[in-house]
Amino acid sequence: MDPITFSIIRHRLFRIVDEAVITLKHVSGSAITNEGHDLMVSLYRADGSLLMGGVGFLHHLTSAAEACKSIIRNFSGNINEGDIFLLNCPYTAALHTSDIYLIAPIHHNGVLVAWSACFVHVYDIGAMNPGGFSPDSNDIFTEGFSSPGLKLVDKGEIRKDIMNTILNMVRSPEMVALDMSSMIACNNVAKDRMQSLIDKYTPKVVDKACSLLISQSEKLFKERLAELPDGCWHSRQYFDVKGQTFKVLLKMSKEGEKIVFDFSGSSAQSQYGINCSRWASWGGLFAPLFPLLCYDITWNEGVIRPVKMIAPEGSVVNATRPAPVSIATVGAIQAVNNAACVCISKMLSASDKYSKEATAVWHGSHFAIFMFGKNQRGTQSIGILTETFGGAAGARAIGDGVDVGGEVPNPISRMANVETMEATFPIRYLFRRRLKDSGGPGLHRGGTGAEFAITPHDAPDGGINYVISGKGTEYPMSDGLGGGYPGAPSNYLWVKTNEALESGVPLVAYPNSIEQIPGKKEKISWGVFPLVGLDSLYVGWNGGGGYGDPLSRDCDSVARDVKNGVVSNVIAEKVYGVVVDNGKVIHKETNFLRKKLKRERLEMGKINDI
Amino acid sequence: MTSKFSATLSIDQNGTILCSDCEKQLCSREEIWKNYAIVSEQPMERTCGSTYTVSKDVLLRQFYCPECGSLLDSEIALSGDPFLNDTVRG
Ligand SMILES: [Zn+2]
Repeated sequence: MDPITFSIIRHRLFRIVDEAVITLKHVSGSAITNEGHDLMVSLYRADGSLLMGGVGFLHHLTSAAEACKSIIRNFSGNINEGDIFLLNCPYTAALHTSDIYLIAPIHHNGVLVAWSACFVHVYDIGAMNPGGFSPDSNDIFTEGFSSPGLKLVDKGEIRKDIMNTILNMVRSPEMVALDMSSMIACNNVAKDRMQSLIDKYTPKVVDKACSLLISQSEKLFKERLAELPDGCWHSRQYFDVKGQTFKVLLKMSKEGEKIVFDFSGSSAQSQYGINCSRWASWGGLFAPLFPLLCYDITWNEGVIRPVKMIAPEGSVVNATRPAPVSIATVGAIQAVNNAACVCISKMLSASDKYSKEATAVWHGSHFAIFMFGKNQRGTQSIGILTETFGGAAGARAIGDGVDVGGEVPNPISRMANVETMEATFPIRYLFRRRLKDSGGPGLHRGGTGAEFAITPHDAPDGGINYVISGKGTEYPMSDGLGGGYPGAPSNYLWVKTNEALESGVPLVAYPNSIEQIPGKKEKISWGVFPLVGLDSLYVGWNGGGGYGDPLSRDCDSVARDVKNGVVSNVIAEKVYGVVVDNGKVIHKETNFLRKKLKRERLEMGKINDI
Repeated sequence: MTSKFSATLSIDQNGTILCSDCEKQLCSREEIWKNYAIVSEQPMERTCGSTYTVSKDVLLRQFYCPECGSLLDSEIALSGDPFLNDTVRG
């Protein structure tokens, strides 16, 4: 095929996805979509295989392919031009019920030529707890509406009976309706642009280019795999839920042009919704694989072909129905993301050509905190604190992680500004800033997480409630690389100022740190909690992992970190061996301290020998 | 002439794993290099400071070069967890 035409069509496909994402953001009214970018749009071939993976949460690219294939199987003979299907059953293809897929066939002159698929995390799905993450649910039946596939739009007409039934089962139906509209609009834009592309270049040429694009990705990915060393790499993720500990173990084997991800030895499935289904683990390992190994290769079916996965049935990474999975995306899937990131980066580190591409884990644990209750306008607000999408970059072989620098599985994640959150919920921020000593120490430092505290403000009911389904508090999840330390874990505190004031402790008008807020600090991480009166919620979120030996870090960089308030003097001395005074390195003391710390390491060895 | 084994280790033409900093020979590629390193296991909070408010059972396990003291790898572990033993066949 003429390479110029091929290139133009490839770029047009990319632009179609891009424009569809913009549509999704502009029509959806919820902060999780248009501020946090918890979304995805991709294009699929007529048989449902991935053609052009878009940005957003990358673990959806392969799951939505499965969703397309499931619709093709179940609606055979009944797939018409102008139809749009809905699928959100995690045991069919989706990740959890609140991430609804809307999937649209694309026809040209009456012939099915492709599919577009998208998701947003809808405002509510009718689970036990508002917002979709449902820590109180112990089975899939209480995690809200769940469909293995239905026709929502029939030949261009919304099926009102179906739409009304869905909206009848959710909180804030007007917002869920807007989410649905955004996905319908998104699919319509993708379809329209795809049809224009085919009009211009003919069905035959576009089909040829699409087929070539997939075989090109397969060829390029196999060539890359062949360049990388053969071997076997391991990682281990622990995460805590309500006093219980779960483990995801990964052995990644690479031989020639094949790569196998084996999760044998991972914990049995849980009674809590942190499990994920098989398709979710499959997507979870591709989320870091696409950007780390295929940054210059089109993300499609061709990349998927050389990859195999082993995930034991009945485990946290391949739960059996009706196990709950509502928290999967920030639970087992994120542990899979992290474990795969570590193994892939270890393989890159073992390559003379690609070692510079290696990275420690970024933002290993989301804190999905959903607020719900009556807002300052007297209506209901449900929504996530979008700070969780702010993330924290892991340190890389070539440099420090960016503070509050996002995450690998979603290259476009970001957080809303304080004013947006204060306008959405009846709350006031006491402070929000980078969190000192949260970036994993190393030759290159992990990016910091951040900390903030919120208190009720102008709340008609005196406050608001929140659902928290955190993990990553008892075990750090942002692993370091090449000796680098892990990033700090997350920390959630309920500060009980109401009680303190009753016992005579004086009020502090504008506290500027967790230490200044009066009241007992209770560590929390799981369940539904009130935020009322003068109480506050403090969140410190996890930093990125570090890379390499902190004793080799450039002393001036440590001094700069201390001066900027992101590393304490205590850690500068104890972990980096650098003495800093007034923002300057004290060289004589630093040389002495670094030698002493190295000596202590070696003496530890002598003790072991004895 | 050496090639990379990990971010901190190299491997020479005879298949011997070396510290990339000081070229100390640790063992052959068929063996577990971590058995030839200095191992330290400490509660994470004690090592990393007060932001690491983790369960007291969580250990930071670190492996040092026995010659130059460079940090070669770190693992998060619970007591008794096996080492994460990676192999590179080249
Ligand atoms: Zn050495």
